[in-house]
Amino acid sequence: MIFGNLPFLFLLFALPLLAFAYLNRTQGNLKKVSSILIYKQLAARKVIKQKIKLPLRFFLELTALSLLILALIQPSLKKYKPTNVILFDNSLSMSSVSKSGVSHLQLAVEKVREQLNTEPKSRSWTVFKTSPKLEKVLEEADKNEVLRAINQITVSKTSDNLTLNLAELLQNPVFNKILVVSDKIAGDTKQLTQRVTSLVVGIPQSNAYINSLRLNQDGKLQAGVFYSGVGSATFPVKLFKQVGNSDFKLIEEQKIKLLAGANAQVLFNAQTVLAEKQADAVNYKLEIFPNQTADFIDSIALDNTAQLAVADTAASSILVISQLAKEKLGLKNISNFKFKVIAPEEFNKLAHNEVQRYATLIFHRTAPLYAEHIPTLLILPPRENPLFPLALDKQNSPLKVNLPKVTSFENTHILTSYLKLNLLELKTSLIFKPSKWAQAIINTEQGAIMVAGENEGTRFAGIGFELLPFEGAKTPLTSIMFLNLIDWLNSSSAGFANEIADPTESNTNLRHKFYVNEDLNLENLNAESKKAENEKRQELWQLLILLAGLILLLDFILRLWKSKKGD
Amino acid sequence: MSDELLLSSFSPRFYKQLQQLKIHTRRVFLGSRQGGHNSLRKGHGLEFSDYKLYTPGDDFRNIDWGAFARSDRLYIKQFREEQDLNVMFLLDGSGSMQSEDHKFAFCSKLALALGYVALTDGDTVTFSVLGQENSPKFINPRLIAKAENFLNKITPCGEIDLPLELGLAVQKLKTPGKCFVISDFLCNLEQIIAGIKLLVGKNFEVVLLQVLTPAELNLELNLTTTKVLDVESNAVIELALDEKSKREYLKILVDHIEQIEKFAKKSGVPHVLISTAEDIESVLLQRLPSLGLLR
Repeated sequence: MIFGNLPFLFLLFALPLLAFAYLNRTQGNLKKVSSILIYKQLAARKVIKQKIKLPLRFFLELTALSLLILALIQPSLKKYKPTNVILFDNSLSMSSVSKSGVSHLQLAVEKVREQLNTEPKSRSWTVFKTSPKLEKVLEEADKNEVLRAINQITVSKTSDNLTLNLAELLQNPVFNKILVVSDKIAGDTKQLTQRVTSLVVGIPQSNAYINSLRLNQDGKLQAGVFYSGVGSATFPVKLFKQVGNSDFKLIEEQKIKLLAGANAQVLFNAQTVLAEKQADAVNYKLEIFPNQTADFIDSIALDNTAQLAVADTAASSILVISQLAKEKLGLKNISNFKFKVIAPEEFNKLAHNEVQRYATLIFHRTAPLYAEHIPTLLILPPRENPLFPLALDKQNSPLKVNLPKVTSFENTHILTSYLKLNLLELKTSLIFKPSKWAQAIINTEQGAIMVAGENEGTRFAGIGFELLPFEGAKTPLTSIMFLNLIDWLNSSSAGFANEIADPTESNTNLRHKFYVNEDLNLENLNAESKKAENEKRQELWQLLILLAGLILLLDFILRLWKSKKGD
Repeated sequence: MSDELLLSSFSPRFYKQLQQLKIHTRRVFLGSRQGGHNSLRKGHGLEFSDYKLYTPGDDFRNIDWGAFARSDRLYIKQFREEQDLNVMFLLDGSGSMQSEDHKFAFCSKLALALGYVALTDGDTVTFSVLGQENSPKFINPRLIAKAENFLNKITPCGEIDLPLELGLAVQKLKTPGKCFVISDFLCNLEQIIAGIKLLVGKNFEVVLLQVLTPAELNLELNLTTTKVLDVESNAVIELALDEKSKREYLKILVDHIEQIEKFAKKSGVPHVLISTAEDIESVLLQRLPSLGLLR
């Protein structure tokens, strides 16, 4: 049961009060009589029976009122139309080539074709791919369309999380049959219910890969290497360093011995830029060189390399211009970035060169006179900001919308990734005017409340609602949005290109250096699915109004009958 | 008659009409002084009663000389003496008489009008409010205003035991007479019967005047009324009235009145049902004379 206007539910609390008032309305109708002699006899004959009798008309009217209130709440029932799903694994492992020279992806396409031939022709299918994230490829299509779409799916150079993806699909009761096509067994045993059919393609290929590369607090690099072969293998691991635009230079080499199916952690002794406090950006490249033998063939070569780009702390710091202190903005909770908070008056005193040292500027409830060529975020900017014009009201003040409702959002944009924006509840928001260069990311009925765009190679974003203080898991939606913004704004900066290709099948995701609640990965499939869901609802309010009308009609007939009887 | 002695609520014309009336009794009672009613006492009067043999000491003005000529015996003519009549008004003083329709005030006016009729005829009148107090005897019609003052001071309240109160009211009377019991009689039938029996047993000629309000006679209650409070006993009874129960109420009331009337008739006691909505003048000048209670 879904309710459209849940606040009206509180009106139902008024009904017991009405009933109480009705049943106690007789207090004022006390009549003094000379003697109750006759009334006593009357009571003995009749009135006791009368007392037990419910005031039928009142209860009819009360029921009608209850139904009208329920209609006001707009209840609806979900109408499930069973949907069949193909969850197609397109992660990097699917590029593994078997001895026959056929990739796992091709085998998967063939497997789907075989499976669909056994299914009834009338059955329609919805196709999801797993990498880089769970994404709907096709909806409610027939066999031929499904095969055409699957043929166009390419292997992603990223990992997937089949277990999480499957869990997300299983959450939706609409999906009654899920075909999982992968080179692994789908999910865990608990997930393998009657709804799930796992189609495993290929045979596990031997592979050696880097499954993690991270920078420790002490400034040293640590890597995780996995070997899936036979017995054990020893091979070299080399760490290269690149400073600025120079070539990669080997700085450290280790020989590691790995057992089949075991993950090995490699700790490098070389000091990184964090410890060295260098000014230029530094890239590190890690490469493994597994020996090809008769027993072991490294099936995927792409996952033998990983890169990590780090910048010096000075250049990576973010300048926050706000009247509030750093503690009040909650920025101390984000340890991976260095924030410097200054007041707007202090910002005006900064020289151009000094401002240029910062990777990102965040203006909180303020704005600069002119835009710097530095990625900039404006949170609740004033009307006079140089970047994003605001919609104005009749008094020429920025238009403030109370309780704005998100109507649409750019679901493919990085700023909205990991977010369930349908849950975004805002008290008030400013509205941005459409801009030629900036894209509306989140829209409400009144207009855009979040805009972002790239101008002459620099990224800018504007937020019409309050994102700060950063409270982490307490307010996951705005916290992740804030981290997404920082991530996106800095993606154009070389200093923050700390993204590595993670071709492994591990859950490690180095894309964000900050903590992300994994549960939030279970986002809605997309905005359209909600729209479709609305269409699949069985609205009940018309039925309730009809019922209320019938009861009132019955009540009216009763009244007529009683008045006639009285005559 | 000076105006100040008249009852303010009665018109002079009504007074004159009342002066034409007389309380009628079917029986002869012994009076205490000369009046307008035949008495059991033999003596001076206009109506011949009997003969008796002359004995020395008799007033020889009453010797029937004609009878002496025919029988050669001296006979004395005896006459029925005309004496006053003891008229008692026993008003119900219980809380039930204190209704919104001024039931007790109506009963007081009724008693005063009848009392005035009796007084103008030379009768002795006593007003007794049951459960409360008795008035002094009135013999002068000019003092009717005093009787009004006495009744106006009374506020009906509480519950009464009808036979007990009737007994107390009449116990001081040496001679019986005419007795008007004015009440709503909305009490147990057994009490009413016991009361009537008591008065009849004490040789009173009883008249029951049952006074009810239109609300009582027609159940003029709002149908949303769900609680009724007995002003006499403060008992509350819960109800859910509708048209059917209204009809039932009237049936029970009529049945109650009929039972009183039936017993009264059996005991030779006139019973008159009067509504407070009725005009007192019409009750005194038309209804009661038509029933033979006034002449």
